[in-house]
Amino acid sequence: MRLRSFALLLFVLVAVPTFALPPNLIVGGSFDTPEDLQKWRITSNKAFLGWVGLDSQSRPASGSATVFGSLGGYRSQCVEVTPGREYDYGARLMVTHGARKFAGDGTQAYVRITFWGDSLCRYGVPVGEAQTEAVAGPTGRFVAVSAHAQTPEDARGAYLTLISVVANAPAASAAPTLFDDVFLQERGGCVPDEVTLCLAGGSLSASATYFDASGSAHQAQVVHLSTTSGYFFTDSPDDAELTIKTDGAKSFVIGGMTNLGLRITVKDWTTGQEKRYVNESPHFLSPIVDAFSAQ
Amino acid sequence: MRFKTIITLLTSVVAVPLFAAMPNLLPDGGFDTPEVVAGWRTVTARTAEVNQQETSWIGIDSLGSPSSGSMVLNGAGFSMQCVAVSEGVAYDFGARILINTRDGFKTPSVSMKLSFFADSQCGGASLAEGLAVSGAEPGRFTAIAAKANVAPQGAHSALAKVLVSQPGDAGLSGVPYPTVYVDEMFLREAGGCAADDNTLCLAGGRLRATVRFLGGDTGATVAPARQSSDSTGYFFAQSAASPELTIKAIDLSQGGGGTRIIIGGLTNRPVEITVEDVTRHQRRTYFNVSGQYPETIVDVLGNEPARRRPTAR
Repeated sequence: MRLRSFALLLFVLVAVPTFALPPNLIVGGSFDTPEDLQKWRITSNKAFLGWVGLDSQSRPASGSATVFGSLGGYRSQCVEVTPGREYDYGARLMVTHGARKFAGDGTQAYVRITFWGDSLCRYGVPVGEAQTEAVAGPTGRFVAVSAHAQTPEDARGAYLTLISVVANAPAASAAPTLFDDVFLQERGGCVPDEVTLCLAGGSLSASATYFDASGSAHQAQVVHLSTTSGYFFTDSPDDAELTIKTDGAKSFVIGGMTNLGLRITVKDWTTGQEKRYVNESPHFLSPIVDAFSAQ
Repeated sequence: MRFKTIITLLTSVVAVPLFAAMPNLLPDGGFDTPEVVAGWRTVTARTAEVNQQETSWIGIDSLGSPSSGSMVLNGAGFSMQCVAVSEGVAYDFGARILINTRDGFKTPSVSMKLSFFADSQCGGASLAEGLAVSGAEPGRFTAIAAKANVAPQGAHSALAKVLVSQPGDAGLSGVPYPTVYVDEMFLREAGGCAADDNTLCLAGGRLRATVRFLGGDTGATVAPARQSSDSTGYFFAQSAASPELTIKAIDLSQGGGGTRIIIGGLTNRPVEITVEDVTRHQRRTYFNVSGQYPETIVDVLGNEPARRRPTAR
């Protein structure tokens, strides 16, 4: 086939039995309506939460939470967790260009997970805490942040906190940060981050490694265009290198605008199947049209 | 070359002098900072149905720039700016619009109007008007434009307005309403690239890109476009969530001139892709008529002298 001349399919891992994707334990984390804000609680009387009708994946009838102010953030409802079990958590966020009244460019945003010894997250003191990487603003676009945590043996509950602060000056007013698609799920599903696209409801993931002139490998960063498409870039999100779109939960098309050496990985999380493609520099990536088999 | 088996290249160069992109007559149309919103006069249409209307600013840019933002219009009304124009001159105007909506609420409708006046301060009755209407799906920035609006005889000024018509939802005071973000508002002499629902303007407006889907029961149809940045964008068929062709422009002025264009295909539909350097009137047209997924197209525009040459296939 023509596409195989430059984009070489490396291998397909042996399929494992179909398994369900782990559900998101956070209710109201997609902020589809302003009413979802009621499921979140303020942590400081100098922090504020709002809602805007701008969705991280451009869903027309959804929006995002806006966190701004100082000294705190907004926390989710408490969810029950299992001791010793591994969880992924994170969100999509955009630190906006701040107005003069905000500290603006010094704003950082991240998601923190706090573990408690009781399932209501009420009694005693936290038994554990972790956070995603802090994203410095302004970002110009939504970026996905995520991290992995193992529940402490004495933990029964956990909540997430959405934080937007000025680095080294927590009392200063941070620029508004939009949070969307906040999640906490058991390990085993697609986890979006700055180098991973999760498409088709999280059933497919895509990532790409590119090779520079010296042959060193680097992870390409991603921008989500929608729930079913996104692109990878190397130097700037203004400069897309390859784009992927899905058609249903199994089929996908990858189109290239790059002659970089590439290794592209697409995974079907419902079966564990994984496909890898290679583009050898200086050939421009040929279109890749492929699908995972139904299991 | 391989891609030529399915891509036919058509080149034409028209002999016109080299000219620079026209300047934007709306100095604050980029809404880079909150302060520029004050340069826009906002008129509120307060009715029994509309509980509030306000103009504000948000640090979210239509092309993803981290150092810019947009004007936010909440409720029915309009924002406008008056600028000087010259009679007999044709003008393009437009903006990038993002319409937010919510279930249970009526989606705002947005348009942009240009009115010409004999008075230098946009006073009195208008002499002529042009209108650009947004029909875009909510949730993404979409460009709207109206092209070649000629200032009539006696016109000395023009009022550029962005209008939001929003029936509102009575009795829901305090609820966040659907809003409209406005960015990259422009009014300039015609002849450059004017971004609209089907047109990408890349490389600072130097390149214009359009796509037509060929064949089908209804003949050729123009593909809608969405711009991701100053230098990249894509075309789609059914939904903006599903790109069919992506394009990016790379400035080569540091290394010999011109602009490299790279087009990636995610479709096997027959298409016609047209890219034009509007400052040099150099145009390239590419076809994918085979029904296969097209190989990546790589080309350079604007590196040739602007002189008359026969159209060549």
